[in-house]
Amino acid sequence: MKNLEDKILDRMYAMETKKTSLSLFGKILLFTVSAFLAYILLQVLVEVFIEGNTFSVFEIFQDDIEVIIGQIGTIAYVVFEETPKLLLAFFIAAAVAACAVLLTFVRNFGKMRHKIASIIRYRLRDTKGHV
Amino acid sequence: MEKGNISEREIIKRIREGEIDHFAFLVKEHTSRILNYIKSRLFVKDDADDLVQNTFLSFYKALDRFDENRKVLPYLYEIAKNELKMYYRQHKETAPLYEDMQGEGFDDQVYALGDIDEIMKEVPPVQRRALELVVEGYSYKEISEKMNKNINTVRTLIRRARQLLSSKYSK
Repeated sequence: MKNLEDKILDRMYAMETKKTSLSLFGKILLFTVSAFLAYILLQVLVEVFIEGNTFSVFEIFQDDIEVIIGQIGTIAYVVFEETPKLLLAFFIAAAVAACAVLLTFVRNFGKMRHKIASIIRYRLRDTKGHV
Repeated sequence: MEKGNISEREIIKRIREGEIDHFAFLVKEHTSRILNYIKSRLFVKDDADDLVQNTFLSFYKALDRFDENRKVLPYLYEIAKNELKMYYRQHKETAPLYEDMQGEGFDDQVYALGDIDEIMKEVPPVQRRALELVVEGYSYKEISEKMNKNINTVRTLIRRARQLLSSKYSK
C-alpha cells in the first residue's frame, strides 16, 4: 500500500514539476520578448519624433497656463498626426503584453512559490519518505 | 507533516493555493478503498495499481474545478468507474486456455471476458445499487440509511444479487 501511495505521489510531483517549470519558463520568455520588443519600438518611436522635430510642440509648456490649456488640443493633434500609427500600435501591444504577463506572475506568485517549495521539499525528503 | 484536524475542504483549499504536499493526506486516506473497489471489478488484478494511480492523477488535475463542499471519496469512486470503463473498452479481448489446462475431451476454446458493467445490467436495479454501495465500502447500516430500507432488507438484496451473479458466472 505504501509503495502504491509513493507511486501516486511520484507521478503527481513529476507532473506538477513539468507543468510548473513550463509555466515559469513560458512566462519569463513571453515577458522578456514583449518587454524587449516594447523597448526597441519605443526607441524607434523616439527617433522618429526627434527626426521630425515633433518634440518642439512641447515648448509651448513654457508659456502661461491659459495658453497651454487653449493649445492642448492642437498639441495632441500634431503629435498624433506625426506618430507612425502601426509602430505605435505594435508598441502598445507589446507593452500591454509585458504588463499582462507581469501582473499574472505577481498575482500567482504566492501560489507558485508554495508549489516550488513543495516540489523541492518532496525531492529532498529523507530516505524514510517523510514529506 | 501531520494532518491534524484539517478538514478535506481545507486540504483542497490549500492544494489550490499551491501547497500541493497536502495532496498526500488525500492519497493516504483513500488509496486502500479505491484499490479494493477497483480490484473487486477487475479480472486481471495486476492492473489495479495503474488504475488507482490514474484515478488519483485525474482527480488532482480536476482539483481546480472540484466543488470543495463535496466529499472527496464519492468523487474518486466516479473517476475510478470511468477508469474501469476505459480499461474494459481497451481490454475487451479474449483469453486463451493454456495447453496444460486441457484434458481429455476438453475443447480448445477461447473464452470471452465480459465487461462487468454488462453483467451487472442483468441484476435488478435496487439489488445492483445495494451491491454497488457495498463495493464502495459502505456498511450495511449506511446502505440502509442511503436507500431508506430496513437493514435486513438490504442484507437480502445483497445476498440475492450475489446469488444471481454467481449463477451467471457459473454458466
